[in-house]
Amino acid sequence: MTAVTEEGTQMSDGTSEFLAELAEALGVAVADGSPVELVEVDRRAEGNSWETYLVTAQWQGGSASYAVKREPLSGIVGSYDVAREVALLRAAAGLGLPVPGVITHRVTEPGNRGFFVMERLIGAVPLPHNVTRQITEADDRAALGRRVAREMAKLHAAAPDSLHLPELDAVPAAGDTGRVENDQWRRTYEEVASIRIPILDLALAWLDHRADHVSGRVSLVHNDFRVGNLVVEPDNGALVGVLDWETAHFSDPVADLAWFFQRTSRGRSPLACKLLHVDEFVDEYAEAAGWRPEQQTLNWWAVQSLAKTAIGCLQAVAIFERGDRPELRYANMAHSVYYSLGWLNQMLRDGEWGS
Amino acid sequence: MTIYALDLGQVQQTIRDTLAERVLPAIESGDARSELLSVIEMLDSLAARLDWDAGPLAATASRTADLGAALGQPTEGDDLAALREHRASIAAALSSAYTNGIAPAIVGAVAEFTTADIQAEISPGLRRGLPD
Repeated sequence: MTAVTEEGTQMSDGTSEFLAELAEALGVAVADGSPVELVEVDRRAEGNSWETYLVTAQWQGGSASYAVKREPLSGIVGSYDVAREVALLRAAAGLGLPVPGVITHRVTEPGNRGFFVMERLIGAVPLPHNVTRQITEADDRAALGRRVAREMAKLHAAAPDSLHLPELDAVPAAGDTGRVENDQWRRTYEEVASIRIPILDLALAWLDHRADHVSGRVSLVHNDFRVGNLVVEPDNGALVGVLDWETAHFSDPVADLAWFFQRTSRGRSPLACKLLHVDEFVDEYAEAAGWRPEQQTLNWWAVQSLAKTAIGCLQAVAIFERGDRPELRYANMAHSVYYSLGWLNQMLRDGEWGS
Repeated sequence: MTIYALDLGQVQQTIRDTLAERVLPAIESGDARSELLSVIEMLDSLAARLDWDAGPLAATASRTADLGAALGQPTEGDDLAALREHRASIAAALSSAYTNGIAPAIVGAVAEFTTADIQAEISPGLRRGLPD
């Protein structure tokens, strides 16, 4: 077995025990108990959450490639609950959403980080800075945008109680989704902001003041719908799957649309995630969902999204300050936080919030 | 001002360790390794000699004082400790800004402050992505 990191260096012995356990788990799950050899292990360096591996497993009579996620030593998102994410993936699959199937998993034990194994979706993952180069035809990008709108509507249509997800927090009252989110993010901000930022202070106060602007609906929301969490066909951008359900929870479905429309993902472009005009996306969503989000609700969740993004940057800085992750990309967020604050300020200057 | 929340000594050590432990091992060229070793040596020499530039810090404190004045929060001092205190005071005022209806002047003052604050602190590579 050759075990290397994305950078080409061999992994430490600390990972070897994990990979041995992984091979054994796959032996049980896919090879009827016969020995499995991990012939290729590629640890990915991207992202700020789960430890991610792409592995190729071989056994007598078969082979396959899988994506593996392991609880990180320290990530930005506070909770990495294997059982929770497995339950979410299975629930999404049950609704007919294109998500990777779960092959096997083990929950976290004292001193032994949990993991889960998924089928590996074959395709490309677009990113905001390269989506137009990766999906070159504008019509293909628009088609992907429309497909995302319809999949979002499908997710949001499911009644929360029908999903049987005891792993998640209780379903909030429909009128309280905004207040619940804002309270949570205000607490996080107060924990991590050693020097306060006035526009964030104002935004959190405004979000509380206008918490009644939410849609009054409650659904399971993915909470991180963006191109970077999509797998697409390399030749035409057709959707293969939706990844990273780790922060999914019950909230206002408009939160997912506002996150997909966030300025930090599209800059000056009127195209959501540089795929489809925001208005056309809402049209497609409304046709699939049978209802249309109101503009004041989209505005509220747009402000919340930018505030949340900024507070997430501050969480990364706090992780660096504590010494949990001595990596400059975390310290650099002390500067890059101002990108989301810049768009929050532009919305304020344009009168989209503040009063 | 989030950047002033960073410990410069910790940042310097992380830069040094990143170069020495993650970059240097991957470099094959002898000349390049030699150059990088010189960089690391200089970083070691700069340890405990770094401090925030007084000019920009004072400018930040001045902007903060102006915003505080607009909110009726008097402020004094232009060092890091004063900056933290001033920002906390402003935060307390803004958290209750909507209790009895917010004055448009407050919104304007926050927007004006933030515009200047962002220009001073944003990563240079990201500045182009914001509207003018």
